Amino acid sequence: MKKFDLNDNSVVVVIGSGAGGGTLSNELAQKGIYVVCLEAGKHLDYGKDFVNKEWEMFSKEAWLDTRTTSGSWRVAKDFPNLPAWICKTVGGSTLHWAGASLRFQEHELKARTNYGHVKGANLLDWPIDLKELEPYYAKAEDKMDVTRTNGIPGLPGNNNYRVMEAGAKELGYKEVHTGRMAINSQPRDGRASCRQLGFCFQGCRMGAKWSTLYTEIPKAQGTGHFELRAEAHVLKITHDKTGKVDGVLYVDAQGQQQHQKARIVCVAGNSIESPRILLNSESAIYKEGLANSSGQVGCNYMRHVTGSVYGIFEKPVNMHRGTTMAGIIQDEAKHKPERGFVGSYEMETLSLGLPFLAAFLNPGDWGKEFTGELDEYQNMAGMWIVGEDMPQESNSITLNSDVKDQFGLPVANVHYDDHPNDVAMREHAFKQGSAVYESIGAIKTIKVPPYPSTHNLGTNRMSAKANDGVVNKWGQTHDINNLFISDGSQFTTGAAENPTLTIVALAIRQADYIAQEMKANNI
Amino acid sequence: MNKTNMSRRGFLKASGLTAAGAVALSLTGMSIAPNAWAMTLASIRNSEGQTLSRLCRVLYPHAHLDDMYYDACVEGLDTKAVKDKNLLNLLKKGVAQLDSTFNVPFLKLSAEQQLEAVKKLEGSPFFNSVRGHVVVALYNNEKIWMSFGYQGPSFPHGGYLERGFNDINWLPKN
Repeated sequence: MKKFDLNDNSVVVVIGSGAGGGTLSNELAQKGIYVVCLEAGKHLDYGKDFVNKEWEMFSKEAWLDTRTTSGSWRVAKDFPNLPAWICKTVGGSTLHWAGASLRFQEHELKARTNYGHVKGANLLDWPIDLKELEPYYAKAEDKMDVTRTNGIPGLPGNNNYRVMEAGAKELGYKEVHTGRMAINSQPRDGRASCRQLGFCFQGCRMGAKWSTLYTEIPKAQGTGHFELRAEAHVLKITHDKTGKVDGVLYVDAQGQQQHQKARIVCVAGNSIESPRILLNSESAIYKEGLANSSGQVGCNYMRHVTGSVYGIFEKPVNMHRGTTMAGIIQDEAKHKPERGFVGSYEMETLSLGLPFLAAFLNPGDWGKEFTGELDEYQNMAGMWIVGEDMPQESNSITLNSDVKDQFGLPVANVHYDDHPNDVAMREHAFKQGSAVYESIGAIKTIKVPPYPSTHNLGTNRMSAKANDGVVNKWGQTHDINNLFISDGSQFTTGAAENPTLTIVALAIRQADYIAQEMKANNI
Repeated sequence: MNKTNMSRRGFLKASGLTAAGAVALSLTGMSIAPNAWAMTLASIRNSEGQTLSRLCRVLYPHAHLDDMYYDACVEGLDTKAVKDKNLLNLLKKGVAQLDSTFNVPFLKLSAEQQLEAVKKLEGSPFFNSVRGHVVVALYNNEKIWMSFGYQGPSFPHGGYLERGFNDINWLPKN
């Protein structure tokens, strides 16, 4: 396989191998561009390392390096050192994502215009609209084998879906189906079709769910233009005297510091690590960190309005059988301010196994009432709420210089307070979610607070003007033209939809732009 | 009691069966008489282990679970405490506090008094350490899963596609 010299300054260095970094790497390599991908995590083999056990896979997949938390969100109390539940592995969080692949809605890309001024929120319109994104959404859906697109049939509904569907119909909801999922309902792209294992969060043992681990990464390797370096933990991005970035300093698998020279650097380390790398790369020229003339690096952290509702019934459901996110209700995913909040939310089935349910049903709870609920495991159905949260400047990733990581660098502190709009939306969603289950006879519903964040967004946001955000409409930083952001941190707003499809669409689009600008010798 | 059972118990005792081991053996279909296993503890005293095991049950009571599953949680705590002096001190002091709440050993208290004694310690470092450990150790013990109707790993069985992923039959027809 291709190996690049550390002094080869013709390469594009991509930091991270998940939905953004893995996709961008492959797209660039397919165009003949040389790419070195630095991934902090290990390279797992889905056929050997993936097991259907929640805690075992959590310890193999999750980003467990220390982080700290602050703010009034409950995660800071329940999981003070685990603000986010994301992966540190080759493939990043495409290992444990559930597969929901929804396009953003037109009005969501123009949130400031459509929602108006919301007090305390730092709303902004995206510098792109849906029309510009549509061709890339189409490419992403084809690449990811998304059901209900490209003639691919939907997945069959499992028990958990059938309960939600029955309740939704009883309530009069119309837009209820088994989702647009990047999970094969039939063999496609050399990958098997889903056998309804469950354990989507533990990495798909069949490879039926799209993950860059076994799609983009090996395809990139096949071009001969790409080198993956796993267990390469980035410390900082370096720059030359003119201020252009010229390389990346990292610690390799043997614990040795290395410096890879680069023509272009693309950062895709998820919305906590990406701004942390920029901030930790401060220098004499860039005293506030790289690409931070706006002061917006790390700000506007979004995590979606989330929560779960579980319904307990008199008879068995067996929600654990089959795909984790098995279907969706989209009727509430419309901007209807008369509900008392701007933006909207989706309702998607979710199931946890007994080990995770005990830990996440009501973190910290104990005693008879709690265990009485767990005793009803077999009779439970579950759903997850995912809605648009308001970007707030004070919700942010900052460096915590009091706590250092294993390499002596300040860890990320994740600060989050719910906006009143977020609270109103969650209350509405809890009420509607409970009504879905109650309408078909649930004897009890349980409202579950947000889990550690799986959707981390917005901390290097896209803006038309350089002083409103960190990157332009191509994900290119306003300040440094050979430095790009290629993950969900470039999201201007969060929209109601699960973010992966949009991250992939933006990465495909960014690859076109980078290739064009390299050819024109602009970067 | 027949001879086979006698010798089995003899074997279990002779082999120094731990609670974790008893949990494993029970799955093979061997019947294990109560008290045939003993907690194997390296850092805390046996009486402290008994108290902690009861605390685990007060925290996460399930009538359908035998004591050995709670004992196995305590063995895990004990193993952690071998390498963690702070935890060991926390556990010893915590047990002493549980025993002193009503000036009667915790194990001799009524269920109501035990609950009250535990509530008094809620939020303390001792309480948090034990609860945080048990909520993972207990429910991650695959031997208890079936009694909750949770079927565990499905890949070895080919998933649920032909094993009831959509077999629900009581929903209203519309």
